[in-house]
Amino acid sequence: MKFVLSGTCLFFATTLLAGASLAANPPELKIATEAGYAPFEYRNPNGQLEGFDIDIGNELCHRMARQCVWIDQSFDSLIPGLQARKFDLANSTMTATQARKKVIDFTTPLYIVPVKLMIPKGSGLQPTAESLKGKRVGVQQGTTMESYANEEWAPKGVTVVSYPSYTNAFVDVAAGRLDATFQEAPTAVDGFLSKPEGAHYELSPMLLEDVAIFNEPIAMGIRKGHPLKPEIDAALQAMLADGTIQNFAKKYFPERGIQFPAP
Amino acid sequence: MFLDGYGPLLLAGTWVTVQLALLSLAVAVALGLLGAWAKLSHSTAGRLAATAYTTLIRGVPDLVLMLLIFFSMQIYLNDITDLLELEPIDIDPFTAGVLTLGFIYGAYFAETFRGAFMAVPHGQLESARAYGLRERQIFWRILFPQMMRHALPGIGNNWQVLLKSTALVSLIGLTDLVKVAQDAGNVTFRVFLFISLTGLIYLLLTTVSNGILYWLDRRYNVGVRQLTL
Amino acid sequence: MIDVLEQFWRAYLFENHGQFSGAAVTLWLLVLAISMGFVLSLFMAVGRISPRRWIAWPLWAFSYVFRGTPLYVQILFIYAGIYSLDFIKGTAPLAAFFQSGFNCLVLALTLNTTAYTMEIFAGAIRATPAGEIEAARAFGMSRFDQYRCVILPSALRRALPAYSNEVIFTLHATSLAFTATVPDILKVARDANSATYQTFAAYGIAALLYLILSFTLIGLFRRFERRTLAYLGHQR
Repeated sequence: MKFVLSGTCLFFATTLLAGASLAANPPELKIATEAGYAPFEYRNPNGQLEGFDIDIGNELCHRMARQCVWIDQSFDSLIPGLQARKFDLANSTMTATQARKKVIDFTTPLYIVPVKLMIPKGSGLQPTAESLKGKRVGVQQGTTMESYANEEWAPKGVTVVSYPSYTNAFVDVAAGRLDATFQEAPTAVDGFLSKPEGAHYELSPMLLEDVAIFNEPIAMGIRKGHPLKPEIDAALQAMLADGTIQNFAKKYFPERGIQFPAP
Repeated sequence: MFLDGYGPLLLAGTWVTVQLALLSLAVAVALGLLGAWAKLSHSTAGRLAATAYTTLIRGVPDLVLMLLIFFSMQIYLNDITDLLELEPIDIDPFTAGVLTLGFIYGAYFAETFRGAFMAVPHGQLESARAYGLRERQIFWRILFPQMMRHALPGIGNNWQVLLKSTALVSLIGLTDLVKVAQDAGNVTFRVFLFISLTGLIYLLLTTVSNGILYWLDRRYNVGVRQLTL
Repeated sequence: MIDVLEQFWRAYLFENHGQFSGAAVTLWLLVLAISMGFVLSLFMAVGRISPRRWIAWPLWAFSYVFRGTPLYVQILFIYAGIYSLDFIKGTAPLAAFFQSGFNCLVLALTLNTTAYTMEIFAGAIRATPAGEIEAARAFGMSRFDQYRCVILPSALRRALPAYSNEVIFTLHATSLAFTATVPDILKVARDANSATYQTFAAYGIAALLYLILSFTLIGLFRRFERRTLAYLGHQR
């Protein structure tokens, strides 16, 4: 009897405490990202998160009157993290592919990023199996670029090398271990081409327009059945409609470096 | 400065690493002593449970375990809180890291302590029992001090491995020293500098650990004759 | 679970996109590192406890550096750090060696396990009961014979539990191969995870594979322990 009584008291006390703490703090919105993907999300030398996706996320929290809590972890742990309810949104330049839609939901489409091959100047390499035969191409693990390269190029004699992140791949390009890297164009520009080490490299102009996965839009990942999804979608659509997102883009990308979905 | 402004971040990362290692050690030693004692005990259930624990954990790499435990811990906790209709309790990456590392290294410590327990001459325990000492007295007064002498090299090794494996928690979202240094090196293309720095900081941590272990070694080896070979 | 197995069983075990991958790579890395490490550390352990400072001190420094830094940092240093030096890129045989991620990884693993094993063996040799060595000397045995007949047999037996731990550590250490772009079991698990998003299946299968490999190794060591440590008689 004493046990039941003390147990019940403890239960109520905990619930009251939990409720009280919740009332004291403003509601939060937990957003996860992999910082290391300039200019979308990266850390400046002071250690703060900066980037196109970060700006969009902060503006979203502002519009929803919630406090942004940013979580930084590896790209391929973002979807399991969503499923484990560790955070509400995965905002890391994630393409809304069919395979991913099977396990999580996506918000309204935000933007589309061109995927290009980065090559030494004047080498004339193109993102095709014939052109890259016998060459070493770097990609990031867990990305659509890696899947495409492994499916289309690797069986035809191209050596596809997977890295934990593109920053590692760029270090290897500078060191001479790779002939090319295959990534979203702004990543190459910000992560390598704009630096002194990238002076002898350029982007191959060829775009793979008929490959479906590279022309799917980027959106934020959200777990299936999340109660805030309608509110988030509405806020994001408003941001596209009134040009907020486009304005953020001007800070980071050259003209027409990034495309937006039709309203 | 020659560190491109990454100095304060490196310091912060070092502190995270140290805290993580110490807390995990506490959990691991407790679990290790428990496990070793269970393995050498009379009860079959205890022995089976401890053997299952040590063999399963020692059979899978830290990285794989960390990834599995980190996500499943949260999911199971969510299931329990859902069942009891409580607010979901969120385990932050630091706590998850401590519990995971402590749980993993508890198994390794159990094996070290088991070997050390076995190295204490059996006759000592027999005579202790003949004198009528209770099990608890035998453990703390006879077995434990002599066991420590044999366990110290193993403990030293395990602690150093534990300290090093904190470098892997960057993959479950913790901004520890290695993550900061790698990011810094990759972005500035001065990989050699930042990795060498990381190595030096870890060497510093190791020096302090070595000092403490040396003192422990001297303390527990009192009265044992050591020849120069 | 089943579809992950169906799609990736070959990759997990031996081959993926024209390269060796998975368990085959893991085992090969382990065999190389352990065999080279064992031979090296035997010699180095004897030198480590030598009273001659010019032998013992460099070995102590080597052990200090390689036991004092994480393997992850060592791999990064050898793979990314060293190759960025102009001196290495300039010398042809060195450049060719360090260009391959596999070579860098094996070098890092071997050096790492050698440092730990050397300490284990040195500690075991030091723990040889003084009386045994005195008796060997009284019999007029040469240094070499003392080591061969008295010190090393007893030291290696004493070192067995700790050494078995070290071999298992090295097996687990190979899971860092993906940081040097070498496709081992964990890399395949990450690929499977990215492709199917079934995290538990992907990592669970990897964990199972490592368990099987570890169980086999532990079983072999336990057999060996039972034979060579029978004189301890402590097991109940």
